Amino acid sequence: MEFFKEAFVIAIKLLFSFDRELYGIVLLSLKISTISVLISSIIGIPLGTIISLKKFKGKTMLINIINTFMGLPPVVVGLTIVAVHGISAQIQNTAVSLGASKTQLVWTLIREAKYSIGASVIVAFGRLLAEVGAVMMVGGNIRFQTRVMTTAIALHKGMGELQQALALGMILIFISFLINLLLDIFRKGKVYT
Amino acid sequence: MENIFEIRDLVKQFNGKTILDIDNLDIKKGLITAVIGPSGVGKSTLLLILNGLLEPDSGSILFEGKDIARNLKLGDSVRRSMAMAFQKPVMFDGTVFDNVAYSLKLRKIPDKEIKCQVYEILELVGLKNIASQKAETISGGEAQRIALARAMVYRPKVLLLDEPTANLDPANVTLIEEFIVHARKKYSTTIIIVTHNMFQAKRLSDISVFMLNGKVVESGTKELMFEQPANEKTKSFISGEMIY
Repeated sequence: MEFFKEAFVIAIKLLFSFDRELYGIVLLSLKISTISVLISSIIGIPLGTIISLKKFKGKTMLINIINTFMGLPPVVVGLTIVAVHGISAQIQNTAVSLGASKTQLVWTLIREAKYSIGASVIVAFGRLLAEVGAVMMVGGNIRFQTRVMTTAIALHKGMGELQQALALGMILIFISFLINLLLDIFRKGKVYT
Repeated sequence: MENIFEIRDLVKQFNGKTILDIDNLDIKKGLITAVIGPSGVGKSTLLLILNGLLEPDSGSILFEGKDIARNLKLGDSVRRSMAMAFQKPVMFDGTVFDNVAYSLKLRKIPDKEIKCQVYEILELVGLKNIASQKAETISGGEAQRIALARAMVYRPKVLLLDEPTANLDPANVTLIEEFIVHARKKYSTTIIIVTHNMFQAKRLSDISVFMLNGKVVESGTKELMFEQPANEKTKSFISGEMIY
């Protein structure tokens, strides 16, 4: 317990130390995750909606493959498929019967599923922020260049600095929580009271 | 009188069971046609096929002379000249105004014009006062009136109505029936209404079509259908007997 308490104290100290390196790591983590989630969303939301709507051979197999990679950016595609599946078929029929073209139907369904899709974007952001393996493989862990929160944690753990690693982990969770809170408020369009 | 739809040898099956098997049926332009019959005889399936929401297995449907049953390229343009209101209407996320404006926005009508047309039709269905209300908060009767307004706001040539007053209170039924008659009179809309309520068919329709087991048993003017039915099954149905 003492070990965790000390890690918590280190986390607080680090957070308020305004250390250039630490803040650089945090900002890089946020920047990379934001860019990734934007790219995933721009590709994933329309693609997920189209996959959900279209009937084609091998659809089940494709969805299974997407679900297998849920830990990676396709998470947005996978969760969008689930979100659009959840919309009543009657919404789709109503839109088409009122004259929606195929493209207009896709946008109508995205708008109708916006709350669920918003949740999928939040999940994707969380996954991206906590991503370590892919980041290590693609970018490595170069100080001031590609070092992000997760790779810094892995580095400290590898060096046996467990409390330092735990403290960074706590900061990561705290930042993740703050971002999810902000996204949720944005998604709901209202502030918690 | 000119035919707007000419249906020939139309067949639709689900899981090997024939749901619809219509040899010959014409729908007259500018009139109200009521499709009557017990539940589950293929009335709603017919509407879905006419609206292009379901594809028939075989047969042809001529709409203003063009075969729409097979010609997928005609899909969007033909569908845009029709509108359908379902038995259980669903509302899009947004206000009552947003819901009625939806079909106009699809057609890229300027905002100013949308505002005018939406308020005009909401006034007709008696719901102008709730235009800014969230659509999810309205009652079943109001939802059906909004669904009708949403379908009629772009003045379609054909209005397809699937049991538009089922489970509604008499006041809402009257309002909806008045709106249907008004739409036909003011805009010369061809209206096909599916109903199992023969009194409603008698009140509203010019032509009645009686269906049983996916087939058209009899069709003709409502006077003929209700006063001198030619078929024994029709006679039994309009006299309120159980028929199979």
